[in-house]
Amino acid sequence: MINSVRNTVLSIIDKDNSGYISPLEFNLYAKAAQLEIFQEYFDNYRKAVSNKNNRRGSRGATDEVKDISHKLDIFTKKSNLTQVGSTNNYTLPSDMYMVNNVLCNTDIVEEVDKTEFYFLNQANLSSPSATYKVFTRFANEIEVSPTLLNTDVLSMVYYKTPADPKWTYLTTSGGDPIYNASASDHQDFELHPEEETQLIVKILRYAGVSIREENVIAVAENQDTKEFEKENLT
Amino acid sequence: MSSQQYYNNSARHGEYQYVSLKDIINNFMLMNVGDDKIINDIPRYQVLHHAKRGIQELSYDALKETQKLEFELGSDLKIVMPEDFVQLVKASILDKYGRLHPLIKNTENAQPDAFLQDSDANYTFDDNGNRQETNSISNTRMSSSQLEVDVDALEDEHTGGRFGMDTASANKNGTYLVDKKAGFIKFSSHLTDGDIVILEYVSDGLFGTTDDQIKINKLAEDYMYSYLQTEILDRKFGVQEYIVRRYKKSTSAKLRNAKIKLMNINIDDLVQRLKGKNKWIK
Repeated sequence: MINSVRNTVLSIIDKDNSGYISPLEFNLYAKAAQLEIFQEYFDNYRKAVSNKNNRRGSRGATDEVKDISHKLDIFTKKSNLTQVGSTNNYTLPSDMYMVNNVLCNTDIVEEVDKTEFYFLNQANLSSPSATYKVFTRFANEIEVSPTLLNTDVLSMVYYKTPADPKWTYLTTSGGDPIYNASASDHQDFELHPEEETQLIVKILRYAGVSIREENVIAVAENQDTKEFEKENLT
Repeated sequence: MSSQQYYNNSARHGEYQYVSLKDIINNFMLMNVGDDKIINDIPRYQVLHHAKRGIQELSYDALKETQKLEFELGSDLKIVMPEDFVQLVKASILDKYGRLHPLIKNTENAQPDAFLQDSDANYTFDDNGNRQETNSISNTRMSSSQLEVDVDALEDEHTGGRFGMDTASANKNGTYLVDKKAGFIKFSSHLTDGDIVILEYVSDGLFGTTDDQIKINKLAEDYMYSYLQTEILDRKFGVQEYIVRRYKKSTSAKLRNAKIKLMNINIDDLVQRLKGKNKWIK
């Protein structure tokens, strides 16, 4: 998808000889655009759930909640967590963007905030136990209560941060870059293919600012506004 | 689990009557909490808290599953309350034929606290200004080994006349006294060292079990879900009062139903009991 996006962006920008963006610039804009769309998924998900609760959602193929969930599924990962020494702390995965669930073997470990964590450990009825474990977060670690057994496996289901897209190329004798998908550092967009138009619009906006081309910014922003209105039409 | 596995594993015998706390919480979170449910979000630990409270209330109110404890009485004629003791239902003495003879509750001792007094009957205080406790004379005089039901309460209370037996204390088996503060159950001197006493008491259904061992009878399962919904909605901000009331009514009805189901009224048992009512007294 990355080559197709780049070609479209370049062809739009080059239409009136407005300017040119280098592969390096393109990669920077591509990263920002992908992250922007990825972060919007969470906001859109909240809105979609709210709409559905207000009986403004639909089922089946047009189910917006399910649609966004599927787009987020691309970024869902599960990995085991590493214990920090012999403490109750475990290190979070380095590519984690947001926690979905923490599991101890097959049981859910519930996330609680720090105040609740300490209250719960003193509670007589709801204190954490082998069946009902809890955790709270500290920077890039989580603290679990109660202490796990040596045989327990703590794992996390999470949304990972999208990998930075990289349009890799070979340089021709004329100095023009030619797309090289087989480079070891090549990285395509990780977003759902449906997002290609959005990516183009957002990269155009960044590129328009860069080349100081107001028309490009205006067109991109206009397209962006239309998309926003469409999404929020009730 | 196959039938063979069931019959070969004594730990699982009879378990089908029960549903575990873990299942109740899982089912509740799955079926009653979510984006398009009345309870959109609730931490699991809160559900756990309410579920355990529900089991406690059910144990006191409807389950009728009393704990029974047999013990041999020592020379001091008292025992420490069982560690899961909440309330005594019945105390009996076992005879040599294995029959139970009920003891009655002693209502003639107030078990008061006592504070040290000086020769002028003023309270004495320690260095921190607190009153100093001492052994109550009342408890000493009516210590377990001296408790007697032969003392006629009516005669003592209304000087000058005795008009028949005080039937409320007419029991030759003896009496017991629950000293809640000290955590003892004391027995009258009708009982002797070495007597076998059976205590039936209510517990809260939670003691001595880990979270994955707590269970309740399946006949009360529906009540538990309803109880959880009511307790959670009652505490949630912004839930309309009519919704809370609806669930409260439903929970109340389900508690009644659970009690009726758990009573296990059987027509054959009823007929057998009623047969005794037709006996003519000559």
